[in-house]
Amino acid sequence: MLQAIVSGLILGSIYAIIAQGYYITYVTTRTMNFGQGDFLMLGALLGLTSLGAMTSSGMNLIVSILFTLMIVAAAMGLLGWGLERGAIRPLSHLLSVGWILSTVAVSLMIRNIAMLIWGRNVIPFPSPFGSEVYRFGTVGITKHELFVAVGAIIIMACLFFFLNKSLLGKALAAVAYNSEAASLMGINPKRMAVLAFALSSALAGIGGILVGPITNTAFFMGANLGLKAFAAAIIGGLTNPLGILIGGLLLGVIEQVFSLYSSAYKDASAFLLILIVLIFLPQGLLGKKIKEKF
Amino acid sequence: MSKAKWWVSLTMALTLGAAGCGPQLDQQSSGGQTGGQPASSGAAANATSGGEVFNVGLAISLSGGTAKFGEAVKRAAQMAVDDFNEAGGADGKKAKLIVYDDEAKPEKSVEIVQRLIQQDKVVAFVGPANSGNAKAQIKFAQEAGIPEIIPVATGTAITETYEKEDKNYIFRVAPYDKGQVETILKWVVSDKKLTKIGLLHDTTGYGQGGRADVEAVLKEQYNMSLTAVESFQVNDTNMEAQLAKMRDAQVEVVIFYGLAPEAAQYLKSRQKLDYYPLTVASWAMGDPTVKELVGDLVNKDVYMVQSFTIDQSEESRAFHEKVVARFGDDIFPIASAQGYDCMQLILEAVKKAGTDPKAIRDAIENMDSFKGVTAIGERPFTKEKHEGLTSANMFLATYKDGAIVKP
Repeated sequence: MLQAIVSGLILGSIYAIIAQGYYITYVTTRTMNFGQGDFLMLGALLGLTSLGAMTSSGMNLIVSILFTLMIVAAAMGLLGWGLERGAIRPLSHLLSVGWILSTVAVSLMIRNIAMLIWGRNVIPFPSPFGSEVYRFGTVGITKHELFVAVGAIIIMACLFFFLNKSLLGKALAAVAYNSEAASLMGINPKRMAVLAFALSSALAGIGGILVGPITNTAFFMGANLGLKAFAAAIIGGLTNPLGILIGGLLLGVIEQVFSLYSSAYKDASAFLLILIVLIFLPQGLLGKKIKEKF
Repeated sequence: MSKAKWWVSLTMALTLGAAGCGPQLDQQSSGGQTGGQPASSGAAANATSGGEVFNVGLAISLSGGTAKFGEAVKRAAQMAVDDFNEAGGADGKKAKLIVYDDEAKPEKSVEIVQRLIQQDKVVAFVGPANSGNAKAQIKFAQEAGIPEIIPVATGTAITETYEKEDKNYIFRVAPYDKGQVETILKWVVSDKKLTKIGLLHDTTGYGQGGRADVEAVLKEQYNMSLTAVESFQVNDTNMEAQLAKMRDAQVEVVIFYGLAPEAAQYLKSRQKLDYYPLTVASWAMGDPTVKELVGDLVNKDVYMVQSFTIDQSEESRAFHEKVVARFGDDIFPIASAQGYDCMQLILEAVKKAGTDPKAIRDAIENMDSFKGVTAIGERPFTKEKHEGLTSANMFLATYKDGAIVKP
């Protein structure tokens, strides 16, 4: 039981990181990247390649991990920028929900391109920390899982700090609150939208590096994780980052604990949870109730 | 506005471009894609002056979860065809291999089999890798009267489907599930005398079928039942919960029924819980992907059903070295071996009976003194038995220092 909870927390923290990407773009532009899962996959594969290249060239482990994180975050950020400029903004006036399909289209392209580059097989992603297992009583945790847990906390903290304390983060929040008023204050909402997408893609990419050694890495790995993360975001409430963190952890733990009783219905349990939450709390666990005026 | 239009057209262009450079799922190649090998049997055959060409097909997954099986079979089938053509073919007739990718999807599988039969007029074909695909496509082979030999798919019922028909066109050179289960249980119950048996299976048709087979054989032949039954889903990230329950039930041996990526997760979970039950798996555990994903974890008490190991005989070692010499590596030795035997059976039958599909079928069914590279018998098939490998010639192998060997 304890083992299931620990594994669930680690899995859940990954869901939460990916889900924060949905949050950032949703609050600023009311759009989301439905290909978040495939962006994660790309991040994992890019990370795998660059980490492999750097460690095999004899670079220090910690340095190469940091460099990998930076490279992936930068590359994915660039991709997020391209996504907003290429697939979301041009469509916003043609058809108000066109972006839903165009993000899916981009993600499918990425999936196929990844298949061409990295092949069709499941690729081993050895953890840079080895496969050693620590034991606390009856609970086993691999070094990498500890790294994931710590990494998730750090990323969340940075994100929280960025969104609430920094000027840029405040600008984002201002656009989210009222984009017209924000633009009167000299904030460019379009630029903020691009920033939001770059940030969310970078988060997905980093999430990919974290999950790679835990799940299997392959071009099709993203679909399931992206969906689970979306579920976490919905459960937690799309407009509240803390809610998303709780939603992610809850989802991870429930999944693992549920599989102690019936492993066949593990995924069903996750989506049953969504239904229950949405019936009683349509805005998610910690989402704000908004009265919209039209 | 013009800027927006520009973006739209760029997006369109990108979409088209991406679609165009998408994976070549329909390659009608023979040789062009064979791992950079210049020899194209098709071209060579066409170039032979006056020589007739007949088509043989391969409908298998070159993408999707079973891509590796498919790739190995493709290489081996190409090798068999090239060997055949180099040896002069049958009465001067050369073979041309036509390959289609079924993407591990049943609907695609049906489509390409129909194309092979109607458009390419193959005399016989090899495929597929997935049992679901096999179930979907055998109807077309049977109705058109084109022999099909299955190199990978192991679902028990597939070759039995047309057993009652006058002529059954479906053959198989893969260890069918029930035979695998019989082999596993014979070893577990009769040889090792273990009684507390746990089963861990995936929730796809493969695992569900495996579960039905294990329960049936255990009941019918040994009057026993399973101590614990657990399942997992494709893409699951760990199997700790299931393993913990096995441990609580004091299971002595775990029968594992799933494909390579999940097998890797299972082995990782064994390590994480520090609980290493004796594990006996279906032949999918022999997928090289497992070892790539978990490294040394395969070496501890992992057994699986096989029909071919490199060390089983001189011939099998020679075959393995031939594959390595031609393609640089043998990505999946057992699948290569089974694929080679499938194509070899077709080509031998063509030598004996010519290029009429019905005559080829009869020749395959009555083949004797066949020398396969797998553990297949000299007379692999009879009218009643369309399984090349049965529990009589399947065996359990294990990993030793990362290599699959006979224990």
